[in-house]
Amino acid sequence: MRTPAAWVPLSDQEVVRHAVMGRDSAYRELIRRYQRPVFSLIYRMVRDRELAEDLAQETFVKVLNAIESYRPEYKFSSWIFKIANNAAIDHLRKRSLDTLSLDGSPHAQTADAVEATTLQIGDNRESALDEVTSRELGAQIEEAIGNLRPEYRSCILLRHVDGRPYEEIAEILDLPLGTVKTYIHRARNELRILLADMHDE
Amino acid sequence: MNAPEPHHLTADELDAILDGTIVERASVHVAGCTVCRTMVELDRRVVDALAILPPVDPAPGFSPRVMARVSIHSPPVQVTVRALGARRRVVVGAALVGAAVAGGFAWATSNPAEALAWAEPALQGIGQTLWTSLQAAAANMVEQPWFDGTRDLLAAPARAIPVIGAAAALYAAALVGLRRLLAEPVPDARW
Repeated sequence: MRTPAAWVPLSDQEVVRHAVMGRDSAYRELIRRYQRPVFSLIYRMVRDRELAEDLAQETFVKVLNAIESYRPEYKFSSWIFKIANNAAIDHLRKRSLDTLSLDGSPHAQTADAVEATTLQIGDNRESALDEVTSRELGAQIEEAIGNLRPEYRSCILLRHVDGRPYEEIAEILDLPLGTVKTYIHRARNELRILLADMHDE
Repeated sequence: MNAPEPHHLTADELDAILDGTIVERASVHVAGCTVCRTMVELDRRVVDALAILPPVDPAPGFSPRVMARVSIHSPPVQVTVRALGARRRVVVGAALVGAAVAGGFAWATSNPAEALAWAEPALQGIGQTLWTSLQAAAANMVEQPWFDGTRDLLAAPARAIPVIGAAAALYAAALVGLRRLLAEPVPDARW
């Protein structure tokens, strides 16, 4: 049995090879390596801890149950971040569709439920989160990230929080390299403006 | 005559400055352009603030929760090179024996008289040897001290059945034991 420390010198590809051979300690090592960055990315994308927990769990279950289909010519990190990002984006798209419904949730069974889920004009669920309680830059930037378009959010988090190279971000997001650069540039511009606005307030 | 428009930083040049891989033209331009210098300073503040955002950990017990939902992949049985070589030798040997038998049969069919002339003395010799061996074995057995007792026992079926049953059970147990002894060890796939 390998101790957790014995996995440290091994590359992701090598750990995956052990996982494909059926070693459950290799599975645990992959979770140990990626639970923090994957959870951080998803949490900053969806801004809901409980939901992020569910989506991160789904991401790992999906990746680890398909471990034999991993192609070692690609980075493991690209693969897992791609699945994590897709999970978060899918959720955000679904949520924005739900938010746009003017007639209440299609799943509402009673009149009260329909009323409760009916869109109130001027009601912005994120605006409650937008209240700046702390003047620290970290809190401000977290909030500003939440106001970016989801695609910009993924790009800026992968580039400047995780420190991924442009090429890997393009691979993760299935976008041309030029588009990734443009998104990051625009995201930085928006963050600059959002932070300036927060300071003005 | 109008002064030429200043060429402000491109997005790539701005990235290069922020990454610390400064392009010479860009650094010269930033030194003399207030607009670009301000943009670089503001962008740097944003990038620095992003870089120091703390990582967020999932709730304790995340790993066991994931593992509870994961099916550990079972690898296909690996055939070693040695086992593969042995298997190949057996197949080649069986093919050679089969070919020899088939060839012999084909020759005997096409030359029956010659085949019989060759086979008859050999068959006679084999038959004679078998008969002599059987007689010798029977004579030897009759001389054994346990022979009379066994003959008496087998003469009464009520006594013979439990004895034969016990012998059969012993034989089956011995077979199972032998099979376990000869079974190849299964490699433990988990550490």
